[in-house]
Amino acid sequence: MMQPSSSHSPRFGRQQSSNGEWLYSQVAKVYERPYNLKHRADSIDKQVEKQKQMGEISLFSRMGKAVKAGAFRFAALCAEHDYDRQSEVNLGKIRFKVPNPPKGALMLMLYLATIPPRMYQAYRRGKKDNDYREVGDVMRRDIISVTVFLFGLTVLKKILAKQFQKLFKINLLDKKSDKVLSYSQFANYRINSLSTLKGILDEGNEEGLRRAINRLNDHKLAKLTGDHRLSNALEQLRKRMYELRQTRLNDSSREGRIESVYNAMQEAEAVRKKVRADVLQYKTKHSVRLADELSEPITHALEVYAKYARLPSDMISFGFVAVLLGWFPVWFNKTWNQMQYNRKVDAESHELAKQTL
Amino acid sequence: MSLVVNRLTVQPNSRSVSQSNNLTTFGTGAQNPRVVRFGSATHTTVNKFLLPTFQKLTEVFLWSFLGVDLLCLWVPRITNSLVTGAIPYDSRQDPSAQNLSFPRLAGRWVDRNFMGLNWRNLYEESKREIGSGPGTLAIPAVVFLGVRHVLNKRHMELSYHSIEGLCQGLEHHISKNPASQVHSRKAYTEQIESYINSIFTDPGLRKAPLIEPAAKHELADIRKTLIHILEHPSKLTHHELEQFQSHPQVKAILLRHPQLAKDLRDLLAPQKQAKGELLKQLNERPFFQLLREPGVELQTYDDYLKHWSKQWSDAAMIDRNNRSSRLLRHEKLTVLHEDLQDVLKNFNLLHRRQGYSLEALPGDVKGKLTDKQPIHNVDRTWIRYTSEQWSPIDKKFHAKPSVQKDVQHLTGDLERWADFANDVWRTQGRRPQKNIPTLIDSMRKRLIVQKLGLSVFSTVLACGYMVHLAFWAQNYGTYQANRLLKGQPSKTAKGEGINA
Repeated sequence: MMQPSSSHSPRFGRQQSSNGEWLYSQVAKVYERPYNLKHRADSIDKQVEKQKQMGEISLFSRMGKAVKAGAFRFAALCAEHDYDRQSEVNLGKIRFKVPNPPKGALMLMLYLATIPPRMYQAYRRGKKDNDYREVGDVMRRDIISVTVFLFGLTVLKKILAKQFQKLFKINLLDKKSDKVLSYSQFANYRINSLSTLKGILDEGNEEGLRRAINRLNDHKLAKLTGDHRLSNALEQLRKRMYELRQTRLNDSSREGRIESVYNAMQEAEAVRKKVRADVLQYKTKHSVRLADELSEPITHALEVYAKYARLPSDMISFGFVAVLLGWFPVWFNKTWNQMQYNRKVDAESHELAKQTL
Repeated sequence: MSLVVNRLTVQPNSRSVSQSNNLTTFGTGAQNPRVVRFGSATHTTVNKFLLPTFQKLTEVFLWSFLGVDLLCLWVPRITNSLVTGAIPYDSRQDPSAQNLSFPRLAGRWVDRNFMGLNWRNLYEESKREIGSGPGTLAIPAVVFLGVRHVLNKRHMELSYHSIEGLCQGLEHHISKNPASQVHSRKAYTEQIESYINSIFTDPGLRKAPLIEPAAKHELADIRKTLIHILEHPSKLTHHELEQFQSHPQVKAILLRHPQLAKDLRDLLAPQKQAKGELLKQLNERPFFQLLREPGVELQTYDDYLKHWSKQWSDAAMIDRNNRSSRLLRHEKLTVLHEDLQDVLKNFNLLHRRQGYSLEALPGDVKGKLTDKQPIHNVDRTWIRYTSEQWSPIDKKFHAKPSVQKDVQHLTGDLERWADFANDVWRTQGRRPQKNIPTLIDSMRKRLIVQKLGLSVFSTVLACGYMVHLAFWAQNYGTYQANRLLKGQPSKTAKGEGINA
């Protein structure tokens, strides 16, 4: 971490006025608290890592420190109250921005302002006929769903993205921040220059690129019209990629092979543009449709592949959260109450039978 | 008329209908084009529906929140609420149904089962779920909308970092410049312009050419055509605009500017009433203005940033006294913000690897990039304005010469911060005895305090609403979901319908 120097100081060495200074400094502390807590959690992690390398830490102590760091991170999350992001709603003529509530405020609204009043109301209703099962229902239903709602999707998406990136052989997580890359960020996988291609391969996406190239097709153009230009260009590209796959990482010929893949890709892209222009000359319904199919540049192949690779993880996590949030708590409450009630009825009938005997 | 304008007069494809109907004429294929079908339903579903839907659901907080709330909470809970505690109708146990004909029996079965559903529970669950999800977002949205539109203080929506960083940056910039002592509007606008221009610190960005040297000779043609389009929009046909759009150099520009490409596509759309508005917007874009002005040479991104900063400071300093000037100012800033976003993102797409070489980066950044450089930087740029560096020693943020910032957040921040820059000048008019750096400092502090107050107010109001909602939604005397478990168990329910 950089040492604060006088030239980089946010105050720029100027004398502060005393008017309202105290209030400002207190408010600034509120904003800075989450970062302070995060820093404390990070320093605990660093300390544990250091002690682990030196073999000076027991398992028990490690667990304790992990809990402590987790508590600091959770506290940092709770302390986030800066409304600083907006979502833009664009409904044609109507455009407006909605501030995204920070995590701390959301937790306050959902954990403290939603669940306790619902429980209290359930308690009041239960008091009338001495049946407090609704309180349990509210607790089971809302605590599960609020927790899943706030944290579930993010965690699930990350776990699934890790699995899917192994399956599809392409990085779906940012290596630096360990966050799932958004669909827009996949624009990084566009191959606009040789150095970009090198960068993409350096990050371990070679197999993913091979698969993305293998997925490319001429949309039945050769079969239907006899025009083999695009299919030949794609075949060349596949061959160059295959040759690249045969070379080892330290091989001197690797640089040249990467360049030949890049050139083949540029050629295929030029052919695609030409073929598309030719197709568009014929203004039939089918030629327009084919031109639409051919509109995706060859250089975007990896971007498209990455989007396809991420989509299943999103769908699964969304479906899983839907089940966990909506169906499971309701089903569980229903089953639980029915089970309790059946038990009570059985006990009563058993008692009645005993008395009759 | 120039080359491109001449191209505009070329007639559309003049092939005969019989020729154009035959897709096989450009190859040797033998299949009948009438049966040709491209793509598949799965491909179309994924590309046209699933990918855009999930992109919105995962990237925009509002859609993500509402999507999860609607699909994962409302739908399962509301549908379940109707069948939980529903009283099923069994005609075999209903003595009055023994002598009914089949159609009447079927009618009674449908009616009794429908009426036996737990409608009161549905009402209660609907009130609770529909009120709680969107309500969480609606209250802060209303508060901030009020602040934005009634009080005209969009800088309230800036993050703490951005307020501190931008305001302190300007304060520092003006303090070290003697021209700041001149209390004139022009001098202040120039100060803001130079400050905004100075925040873009990426040397790669400054040096890179905006348009490839090989294509420069065509710029004159494009410029003329553009003037023609912008000055005589009604005289241009759809085909002429299409021809302009398909010009190689224009295409190269549009490739780098997706927003412009979208605007031009919209311009080609048949809705003519929107054309005037879009042309006006295109007129406002700095990039297009550069193309229009004969004196301005499009050399590098540096030229673009200087021109952009000037336009931004001019727009930011437009008076906000009446509604029309406020709208004009808002429009200009929005267009500038979108334009910069396009330009920076497209620079990254074309030059990021070359532009981000270690030698080109500022000194303090070099040390941090000893590993392989991150490839995921298409949406980030190097800037100097935030105090994002957290110091564990004095537990405060400190200004850094350069930090990486998300392009979208940067442009959004600048758009909102324009209100602060404008407010400083207005306040200075009321308190001429104060010098501008002192004024910025005191206004920044006041803004931080006001921002916290507003955030707390929004959260407290939303919490109050949630508490009230719980009492309002659960206002029945009994818990409707368990209604059957209080009386007869469901398995022994007779055919008494809803009266059970």
